[in-house]
Amino acid sequence: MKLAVVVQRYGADISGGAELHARYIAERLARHAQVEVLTTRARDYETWRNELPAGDETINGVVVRRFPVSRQRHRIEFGHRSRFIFEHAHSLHHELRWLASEGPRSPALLRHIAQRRNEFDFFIFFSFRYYHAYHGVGLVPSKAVLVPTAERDPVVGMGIFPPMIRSARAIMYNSPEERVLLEAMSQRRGPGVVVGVGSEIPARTQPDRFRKARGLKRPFAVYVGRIDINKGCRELFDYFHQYAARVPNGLDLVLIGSKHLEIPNHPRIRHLGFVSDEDKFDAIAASDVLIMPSPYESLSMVTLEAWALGRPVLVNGACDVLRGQCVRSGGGLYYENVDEFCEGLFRLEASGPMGAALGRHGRAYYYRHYSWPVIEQKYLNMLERLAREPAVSPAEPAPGLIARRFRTRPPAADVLATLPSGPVVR
Amino acid sequence: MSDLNVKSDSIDVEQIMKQIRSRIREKRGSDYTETELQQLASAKFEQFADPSGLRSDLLEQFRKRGDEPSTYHRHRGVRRWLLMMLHPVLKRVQKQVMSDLNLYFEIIHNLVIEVTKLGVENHNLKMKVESLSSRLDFDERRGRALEGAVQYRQPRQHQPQHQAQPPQPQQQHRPAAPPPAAPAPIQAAAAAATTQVISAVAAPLVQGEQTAPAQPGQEGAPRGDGSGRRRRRRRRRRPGSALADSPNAQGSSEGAGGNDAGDHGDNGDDGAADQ
Repeated sequence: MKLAVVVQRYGADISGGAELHARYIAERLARHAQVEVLTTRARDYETWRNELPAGDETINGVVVRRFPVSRQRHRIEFGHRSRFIFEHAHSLHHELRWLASEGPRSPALLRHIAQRRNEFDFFIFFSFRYYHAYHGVGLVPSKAVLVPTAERDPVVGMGIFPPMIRSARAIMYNSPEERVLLEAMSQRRGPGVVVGVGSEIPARTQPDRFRKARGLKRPFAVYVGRIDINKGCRELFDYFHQYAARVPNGLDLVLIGSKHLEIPNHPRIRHLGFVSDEDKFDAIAASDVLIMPSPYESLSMVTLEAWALGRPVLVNGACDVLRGQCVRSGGGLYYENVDEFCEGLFRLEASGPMGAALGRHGRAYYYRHYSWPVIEQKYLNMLERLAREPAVSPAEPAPGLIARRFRTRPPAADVLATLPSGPVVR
Repeated sequence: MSDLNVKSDSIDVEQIMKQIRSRIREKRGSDYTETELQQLASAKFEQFADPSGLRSDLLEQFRKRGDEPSTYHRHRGVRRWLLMMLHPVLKRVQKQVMSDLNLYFEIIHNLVIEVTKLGVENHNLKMKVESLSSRLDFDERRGRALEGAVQYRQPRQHQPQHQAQPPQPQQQHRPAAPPPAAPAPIQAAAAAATTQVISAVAAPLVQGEQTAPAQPGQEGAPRGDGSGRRRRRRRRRRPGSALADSPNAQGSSEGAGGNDAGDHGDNGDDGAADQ
């Protein structure tokens, strides 16, 4: 079996959620099939600038083919288009323009897919919202396996995506919440399975080494990820200030990740910057609890990693996926306001009554659903099923040049509000 | 805490969250939902806008306005015709004015809601401040009690010969009166307790309640012959004094008859037990 993994960025040093997800899946599937990665030369997701060398290279045993991005993203233009589509009635033409401005626009990549479609059994597209996935699925619908990595944001309410979701041969969801959302949005009834992704969990961690190396003497909660307002970090800082005032002898907060937001100067907040994977796992193992404040997550790999290491998590209850995972796994608590944040953090301290028990449940949940053998088997089962069954869903024709200019689409945010929300408990 | 303990085998996160929320409600007292807040806000707003509470009858007039004949019907002839001709323009202006008014109304309403929220928050904060100040008072009292306790931690040696000395007549004219001392039986009890912590803590509490100024001529009253002053000078020169030599303890010991020890050598014993 020959597979192509199509993703917007790819590299050993690229740590974005969907990109890392794609790399892990490509490397794991390479053990069972011939895998090629088709991607762009971009490294920066905000500009899609061509930074990486064109041509082929091999990363961890997987062949990677890079194609140039023809047009960089213009941040202001993209922001204007996004606001217009999310908040105003518009046409499909506006949405297609939005998609082109979002990028990464790489006609060479699409040409390559069209030319070599017969060489591959299946194309696994990552991130439904990007240019390559939308047009790529349109080129090879009968061979398209989509990993949408969808979050509950207004993009889901746009009109161009439901036909594309319906056209894909199969969908590999990250969570039951994502499945409910996308099926309600697209009315899709085709093959699909909730898979998610595993992680490269080290067999042994050294929390004491990490504590000594970083001079951490007090117990702490850890946040791992981009320190960004979109990740809920501003709210995290506000809430932690109040927690620190209410619980003077409570946990410190250790932040790991690149800084895109001013970190408040507080004696109990430490920012360690970008660290190696070894340090990241040691930090999680050394912590009492992992905090995930992001309101938009399609899976949160770091949450799964914390569970794999037996640590409980405290997540933002505004994110259906995280909240659902906590409820289903029994591996963490969630908060919806500052009082719940303080109480939750207080309860999850290692010396508290429930931190260890929740951590154990999280660990069991991880190994039951997100360990690599389980993930690989789900992918292989789906691919075998698709190879067995004939393709029945032809690509839906796009509206004509005139029809797509009618302003019939409601604001995307309004559409999103009509879609089902909340965690899937069972 | 008991209701928040979890069994390892059965964790229901939703149940835990319910418990956490109920605990928060217990802590904060009555909590207001968004609907309740809206009701509170509207009630206050109505109260404010109620004409009975105000001297003006503006609200009543405003309500009556709807029943009045329209602007055009109040006029006749050319004026009425002119007004009707200008109707589209006037209507447009009126619409604009009305939308502005609606906007202002909404802003005021939102402000009232915010003020109500702030009022509730203020109430909660006041409660918190009260709670904290009571805790602070308690801690201060406890701190004072513990500070007083250290006077009795040193074991005192019994020197009965000091009791035999009669009080000097000059004692009555001594200008600098020492701090009040505990009555003799209590001091004796405290001394007997020696270094036990319980008695050390209990003694000052009793002392605080029963302390009375020593009268001249009684045991424990300061001497007027200057021996007390000599004793003080000697003790100040001595380096490395214990807690009992602190100014607080010194004054107390003098008042309790400790000055007697100073009359009979440099043994350094305080007179707390010299009864």
